[in-house]
Amino acid sequence: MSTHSFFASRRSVLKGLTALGAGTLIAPALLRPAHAAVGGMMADGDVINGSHYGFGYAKVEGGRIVGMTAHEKDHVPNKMFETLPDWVYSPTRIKYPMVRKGFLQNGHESDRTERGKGEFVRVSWEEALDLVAAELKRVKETHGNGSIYGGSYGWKTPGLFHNCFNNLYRTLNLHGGFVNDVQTYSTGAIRVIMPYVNGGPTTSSTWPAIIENTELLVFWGANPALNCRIGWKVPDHAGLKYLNDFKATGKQTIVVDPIRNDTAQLLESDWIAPRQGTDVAMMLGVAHTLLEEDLHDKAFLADYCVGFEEFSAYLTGESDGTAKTADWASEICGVDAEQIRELARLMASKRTMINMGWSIQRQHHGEQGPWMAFTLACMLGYTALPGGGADFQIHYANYGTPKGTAPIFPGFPAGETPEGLPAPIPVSRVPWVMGNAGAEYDYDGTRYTAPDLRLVYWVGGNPMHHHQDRNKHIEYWQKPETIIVNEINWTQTARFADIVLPVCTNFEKNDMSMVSEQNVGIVAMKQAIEPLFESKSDFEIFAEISKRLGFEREFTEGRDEAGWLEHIYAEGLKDAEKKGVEMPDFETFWNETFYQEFPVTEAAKYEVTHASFREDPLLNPIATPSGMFEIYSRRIEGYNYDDCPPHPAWMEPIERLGGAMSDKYPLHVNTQHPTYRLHSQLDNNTALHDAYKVQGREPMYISPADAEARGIADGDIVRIFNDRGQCLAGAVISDTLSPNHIRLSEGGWYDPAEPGVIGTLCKQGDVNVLAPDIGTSSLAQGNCGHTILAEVEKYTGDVPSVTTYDPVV
Amino acid sequence: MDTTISSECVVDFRPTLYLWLSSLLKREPSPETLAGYRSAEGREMLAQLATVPELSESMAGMIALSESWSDPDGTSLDLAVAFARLFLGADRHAQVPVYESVYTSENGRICQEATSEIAALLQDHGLNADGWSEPADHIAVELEFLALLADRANTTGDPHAEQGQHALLTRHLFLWGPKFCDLCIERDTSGFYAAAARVLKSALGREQRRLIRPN
Repeated sequence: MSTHSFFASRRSVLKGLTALGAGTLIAPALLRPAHAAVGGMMADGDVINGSHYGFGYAKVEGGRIVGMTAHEKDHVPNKMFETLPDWVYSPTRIKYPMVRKGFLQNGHESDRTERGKGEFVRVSWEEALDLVAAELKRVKETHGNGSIYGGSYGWKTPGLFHNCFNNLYRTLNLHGGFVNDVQTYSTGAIRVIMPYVNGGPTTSSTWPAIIENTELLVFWGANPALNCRIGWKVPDHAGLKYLNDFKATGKQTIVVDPIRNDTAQLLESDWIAPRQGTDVAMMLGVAHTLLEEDLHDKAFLADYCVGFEEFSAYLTGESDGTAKTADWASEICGVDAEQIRELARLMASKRTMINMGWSIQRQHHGEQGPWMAFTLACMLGYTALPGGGADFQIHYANYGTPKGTAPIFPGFPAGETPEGLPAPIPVSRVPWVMGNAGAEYDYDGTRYTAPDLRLVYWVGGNPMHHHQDRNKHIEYWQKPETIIVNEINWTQTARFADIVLPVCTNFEKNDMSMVSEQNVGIVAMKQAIEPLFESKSDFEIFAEISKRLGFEREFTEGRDEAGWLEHIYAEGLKDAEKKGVEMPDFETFWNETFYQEFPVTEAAKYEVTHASFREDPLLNPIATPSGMFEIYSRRIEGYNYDDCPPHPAWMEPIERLGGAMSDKYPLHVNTQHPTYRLHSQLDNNTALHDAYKVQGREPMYISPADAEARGIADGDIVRIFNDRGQCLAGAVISDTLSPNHIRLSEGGWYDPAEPGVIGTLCKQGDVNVLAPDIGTSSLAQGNCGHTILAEVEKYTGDVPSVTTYDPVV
Repeated sequence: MDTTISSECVVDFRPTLYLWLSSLLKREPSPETLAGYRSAEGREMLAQLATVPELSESMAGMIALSESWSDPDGTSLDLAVAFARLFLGADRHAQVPVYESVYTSENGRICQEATSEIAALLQDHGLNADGWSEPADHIAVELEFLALLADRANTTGDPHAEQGQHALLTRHLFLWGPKFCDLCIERDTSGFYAAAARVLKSALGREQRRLIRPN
């Protein structure tokens, strides 16, 4: 049949309708003759790309991604990478620009309690972009740039060009500036405290040096077997390879964690399980034993540290009347006093590395954990020797793996923020600031006033996942007049916005990324498929907004996507030439090789942090006020904070087992990183759900004794609750949990039974409905996502469907 | 012999019906579109569709609903919200997937085998849906395709068009159309899309009976 006759017949249908006068009921045709194809469908084949889970090839057939193959340079590929097509083709994709109905009708005077209730209307891109530009103009003119929050925050794409933060910052900077944030949800306390102590949280030795020299490796609240599966840049999973290499040495490892975690299981480690949140007390017990039994390295403490005298007065109780003995520690942390003493003796007897995870600082008074771990390492005296000391990084991504000889690729520039704007906000205080304009807060030695944020623009992040105390968060989130979100998926952050702009995935645009935090390579991230629906890249979106605000040329500098990629590569090439690093030209890289490795030198394999300081402390001082490691900080003393003393100390948290609130809520909720996600990313990847979800809900791990005491069976739906909120989850009974602890990993999407209603039940298992929204202390103001007591019960009500990911069909 | 096949309304009603339903599910109705329902001609079209015995009850519901609209602008906005809740993912509770792939693929994803199969079937009939921003297995594409095939089969008697309808119905629309309709009926609170789904469900039922007992 010819196309002509077909369309003639279509006209006959329409003619009939027109004769009826009903033509308005029929939209213009979707279908057209095949010869009118616009083309543009991407070619079949294997297309290279990179992600936070690894890198490799997307297999494209008929314009669709049908599978993934890991790159040969990915040492330990994982299932998250393999199932990325499931994420690309999730029914949760945002298809069109959307505006909340109330906002469309009343603009910034809308009823903001309607946020999160699903009242959206599709608009054209033109209309959406006009609206965004008009709001940015209005807020600037009416309230000033200091009322625009653009800090965003989250796990954006690792691409150098489509870095959505920089795309947003660049736009807002050209618009006159914005209020940013500072620090992270991962390292809120450690990155503030450690510069006072040792110049900054660092790796202590590279993995080859650890494998060769470390005799005892203690993972304290650290879980590299899990957390090295992901990376801020594109991981090659070398950290996991080295972890296995360490296992092969047969040397002793100890895991200190309320959970016998993935690392303990992989390495068959000895397991010590303190009550969660009491690690500082336990470490003090170890330190006291070292002091009492004269096992500490007095020469090291004298030559390289300041403040041990004051600290030892605290250990002995001379300064506060309480000796921090192993028995004292045991009362608090629940670990047998003799076991604490044995640990001290064992650590003192051989070269020990303490790898401290970030969990210990993501809790109330979280500054104390890393400071105490470093102090303990200084007492042992192996600090700055190969394979010794305290390490704060190797538990995650590719830290501790040797650095490549990469040139610097500056990427897409964010531009400069003009002077005179309110100071960046400690990121975990951003929601509080939204709700408390004009209130004062302390941060890192300075007192600030919370700015009056009227407009919030969020890209590449999901605060409705990562922030604590969801119910309070929703209340704060109602304060700004306008919330704009660029998103790939209908996350709760998108659902709680006024204007939602659909963004395409990294498979729908061209980019490139560094491989590994140690920059061992650069990989092309090539477009594999056409952008789905009407989604666009952030660059396209911000170029359009810039056009409307009158600075398109300054934003794009006259370059399109291809132009920027060539430019970014050329800048790297220039630096490579300067450094004598070999690199192909852009054409060859982009069209032929796709991946460029930057070799690791022999010297880089055996790096030991602070080694030069240990060699000559006068010539190579530490970047602290004294130039030494500071066990006592005069500077912190000067701040006079009652919640952050000048030396590491045990500070009672707002709640803990055996302490405050434990009579009412007898379980500590452990929120460790999820096994099959990157925080909340991939929670909508249902191909992975079979591996871990329970009746479609986030698994809650519980010990056999705690389950039995509550009549909970494996696979039951349970309700977890405290004074802050409540959620459902699916019970998994596991002997990896120590008693009185349950595990509910962070990142399960918030799924309110009554959307937009404060206090409603989360049907799926978002642990942040239970977590407190407080800062670690006046010093760092980090988040306290691990300080949670709760109770759990078997859920006997009508079981609601989980609706947060996909439509239930 | 199937009376509906032999009746004069065959030429008009199936293509008209499916084009109308396709349009209705393609995007939100404008105030002008809503006014069309209230025009004499629109009423005539709806009334004619209501004469098909299998559709009479469901069409009566649609007619009654359209007669109740008094504010085209307000109704248009309300239906845009309803459309977004159901078909654009704006409301987690009320979503109804508009893609065959979500109903028939292993993990309920979009753009799976069904998308390729519909694209291939369109190609086989000299067509494509590449000019639209939606995958080829969108309900609106399948319904417009059915309308065109039906019209062509009616007007030219081309057996290829009849075969195409057969393939589209038996390998695609019958597999997920009824479920799609049930979900619309269950989750739509505006009444409009539930009414349309009742019409579509009765039409698909009629198609099934037609294929089981052809002519």
